[in-house]
Amino acid sequence: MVNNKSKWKSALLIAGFLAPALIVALGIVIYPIINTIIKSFQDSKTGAFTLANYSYLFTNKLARAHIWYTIWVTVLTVVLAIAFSYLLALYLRFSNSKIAGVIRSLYLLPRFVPVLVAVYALKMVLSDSGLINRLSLLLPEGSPLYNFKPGLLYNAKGIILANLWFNIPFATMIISAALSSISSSIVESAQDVGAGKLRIFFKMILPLSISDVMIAATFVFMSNVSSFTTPYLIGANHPMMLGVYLRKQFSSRKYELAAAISCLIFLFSSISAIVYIYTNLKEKAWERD
Amino acid sequence: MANAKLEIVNMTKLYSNGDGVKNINISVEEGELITLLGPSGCGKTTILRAIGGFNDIQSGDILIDGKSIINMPPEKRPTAMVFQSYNLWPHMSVFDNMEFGLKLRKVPKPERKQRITEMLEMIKMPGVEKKYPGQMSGGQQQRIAIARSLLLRPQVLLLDEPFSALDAKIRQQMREELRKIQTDLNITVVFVTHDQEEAMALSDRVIVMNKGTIEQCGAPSEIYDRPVSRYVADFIGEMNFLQINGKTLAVRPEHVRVRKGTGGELDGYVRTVMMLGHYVEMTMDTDYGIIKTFISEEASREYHKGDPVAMDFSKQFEY
Amino acid sequence: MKKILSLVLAVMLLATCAGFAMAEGKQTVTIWSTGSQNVADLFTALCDAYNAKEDSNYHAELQFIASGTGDEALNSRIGAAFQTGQTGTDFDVIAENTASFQSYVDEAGSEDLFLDYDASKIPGLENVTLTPVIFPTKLVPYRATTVVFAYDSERVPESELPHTWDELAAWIEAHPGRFAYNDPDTGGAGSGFVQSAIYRLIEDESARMSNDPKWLEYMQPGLDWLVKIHPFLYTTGGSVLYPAKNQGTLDLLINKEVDIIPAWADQILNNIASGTLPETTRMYQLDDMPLTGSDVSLGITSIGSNPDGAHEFIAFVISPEGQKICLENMKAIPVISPDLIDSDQKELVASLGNYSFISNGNLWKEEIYPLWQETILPL
Repeated sequence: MVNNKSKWKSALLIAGFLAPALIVALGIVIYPIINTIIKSFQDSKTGAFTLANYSYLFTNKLARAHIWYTIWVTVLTVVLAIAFSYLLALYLRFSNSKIAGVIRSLYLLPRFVPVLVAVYALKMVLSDSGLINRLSLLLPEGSPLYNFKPGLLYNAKGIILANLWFNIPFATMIISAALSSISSSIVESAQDVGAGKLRIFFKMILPLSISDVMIAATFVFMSNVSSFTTPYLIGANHPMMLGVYLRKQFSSRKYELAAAISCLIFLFSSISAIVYIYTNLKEKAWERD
Repeated sequence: MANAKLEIVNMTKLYSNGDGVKNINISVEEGELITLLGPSGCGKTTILRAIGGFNDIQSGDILIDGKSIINMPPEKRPTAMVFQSYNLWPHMSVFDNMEFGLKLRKVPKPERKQRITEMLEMIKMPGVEKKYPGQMSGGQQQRIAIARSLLLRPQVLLLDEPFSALDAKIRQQMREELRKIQTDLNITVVFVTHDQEEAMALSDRVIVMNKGTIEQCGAPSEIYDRPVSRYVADFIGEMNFLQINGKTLAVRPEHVRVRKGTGGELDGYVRTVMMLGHYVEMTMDTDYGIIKTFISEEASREYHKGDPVAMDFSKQFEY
Repeated sequence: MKKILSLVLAVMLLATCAGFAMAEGKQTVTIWSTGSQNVADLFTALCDAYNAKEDSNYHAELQFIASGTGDEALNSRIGAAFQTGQTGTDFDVIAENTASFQSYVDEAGSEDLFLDYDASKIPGLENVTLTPVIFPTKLVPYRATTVVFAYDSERVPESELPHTWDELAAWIEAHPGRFAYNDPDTGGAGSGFVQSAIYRLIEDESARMSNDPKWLEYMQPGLDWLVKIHPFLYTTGGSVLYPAKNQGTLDLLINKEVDIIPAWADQILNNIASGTLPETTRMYQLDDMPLTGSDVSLGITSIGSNPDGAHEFIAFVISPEGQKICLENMKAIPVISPDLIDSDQKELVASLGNYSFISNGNLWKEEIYPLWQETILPL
């Protein structure tokens, strides 16, 4: 009885401590989200309910181009970032060379460079009159690479390149953690019974790390589907990432359309959030007691 | 030895930090269980991993049935290795774990199933096919790991401290089972351990290692009765060491005979008398150090702390 | 970084100025403006000069709202203040493109937001040669600014220079990738170019001063012309690029990636002065229709707290002294005869008085730009 009472007390206390955070969360997260959702269904002039904002997004040629472009750039970013990160993480996990050691201690560095600085640096190196171009001008005139223009900026290539710069370290970190929890004896005993490298990867390492790879992928997806700074600075004006498109609508005071775009981005993010939660909650057969 | 199953000739493997093994020569006969014994860092695992193909060696050769295997990757070697822990693949059921190597060897499906069932019966764990490693105890997992290796009918079975993570009672049991299976199947086994008791109980021959070299090689009784160096004498069983005139005298406790009074080979005083079940351990202060012996409970009643004791040694070693 | 630093410095400077003003007990007159950093720099210089003058009766203080941060809000804020009947606010003087004053009046719902100025309180007003196109009794132009074509005479020989829009189209086609104009939503140089290209093919010149959507149907020829030159514009990575911001095309000219661009005259002059563009850079207009320009005016609100101070500040800005600051600080085209200004830089802008004036209110943002966007971008 006494025990029960003190339990109640401490539960109340915890609720008391959490209440301010909850109220703040309601105020600064939940309320704006609801507000945005409502706004996205409103007519800009009358405020009446309408699906026009969404139907515009899905029927307007430009808007559709932006949506497809966003999906395309994001998916490509996810696929490339995960592929590179996986290879890098495998290398770091299984190589004892000095180079691996150096990479191991440096690979997170790009994460610590602020987005703006990195994007501007990228711009200086890659732009058609940037460092690469200047270096190519040192070659004798007429040689095939003279006045070489990388052509990487203001199109999807540049955005994806910058995205990779930011996301490979992050994904590598998550996948590395997963790989380091795979004991060497698991790999060695597979080797011992006769499995080659590829079979070890597909039969041992992949199944044992796939859920963390999925988590890394969802994180990369979520942070890139709504990215703004990178595409704003080095993206083209058409087609554009939804984040930039949103900002553009917002600054032309098309708040309802902007709200619909945010809801769309939110929807994309939630799809990957569902994947994340699903992978996290799914109890693997071998983990069941 | 013409009929050596496994032969290691002049093998050297040194790591960049200077650790490793030097000039190792070992010969193992078919059906023999040989143990590499030594403290951690003595190089015993290095040798085992070199046999299994997980360490490349700098010089020397490793032969199985007279054929060099040093240029083969682990998956091509006729050896099977059982590690200290995490042998089983956690995402595969017991059946899948055992079937994996058979599949790679293209054993037909009905035969695979039959061999797995038989093997599980042999290790007295029938019916666990569908279980996952995480659902079994450490001892069961190691048993499955050994069974998985045996299924592949290796020429040489390599065991790297397979029981060290298990508790004492199960360890004892596992040792007996391993010895039984090994003699039943007449397989050649190289066993690595730091536990001298385990080595003595299990092996046909024991190789005592020290800092990368072989200190002594022989049957357990030979090693116990005739340790060739002070290191071996100290490492195997219990031993009293006495510094007398610049020489080290080594006497096993059971070779010390005591009587009350003085006039023995060595005289001293009772230091402690400790009851250890069906026998009593008594230690004595002498001019050359402390000496330990075992006496019967009945005899111990005569001795009290500070009593003068005369000692005679029925067997002694000098180093 | 430089921008932020100068903003911080400007704020600090203003703070100290304010401090002095308190000490001397002068009443404050607050100047509001929006735009790019160069406008902020200009007004900082104007306020400093005004405050430093011994015979100034007031203390000028700048409230600057940088482009792209919240400048849409200034007209809304002032409009809202007017509609809710506020008086005695610190909205004393507004500096804006003349055409933009319409949006302030629209927000307020009444022309009464701005006072008719009292000419007697603005000595020197008679020297102002420009008349604002809208609200001529309320607005005093203080500088003009225009979009021009800029090129490097080293790379484009005089003989090849196009002088009409048709010649320009021919030049662009003959020199693929060597001409660029910025996305017209992101800077006035691009929108000046696009609007000039469109309106020059509308015979009725009254269209230029109208926000009537009926003119949209006359715009197809201009759009067609823009479609025609599209494939020959600057490309990167295999596709045509409309750079973002005026600076975007300017960078292309600076990096010699293109040869001719439409650009703001003052930006070109500033870049020549700072050495980023070579001395051989030239500016000119096409003969059949010059690019758009506009005058930038000062207006006194009816809800401010210091109309007298506002008048005095405006008089200072249009005085030869104020105009010299505009000319030298911003390379702006003066609103008084250059003869009155004592500056060696007046030659620079002497030839730039010739520009087209287009004032179509919200028609540009709401109709013409989207039209451009949907016609040109998917190409």
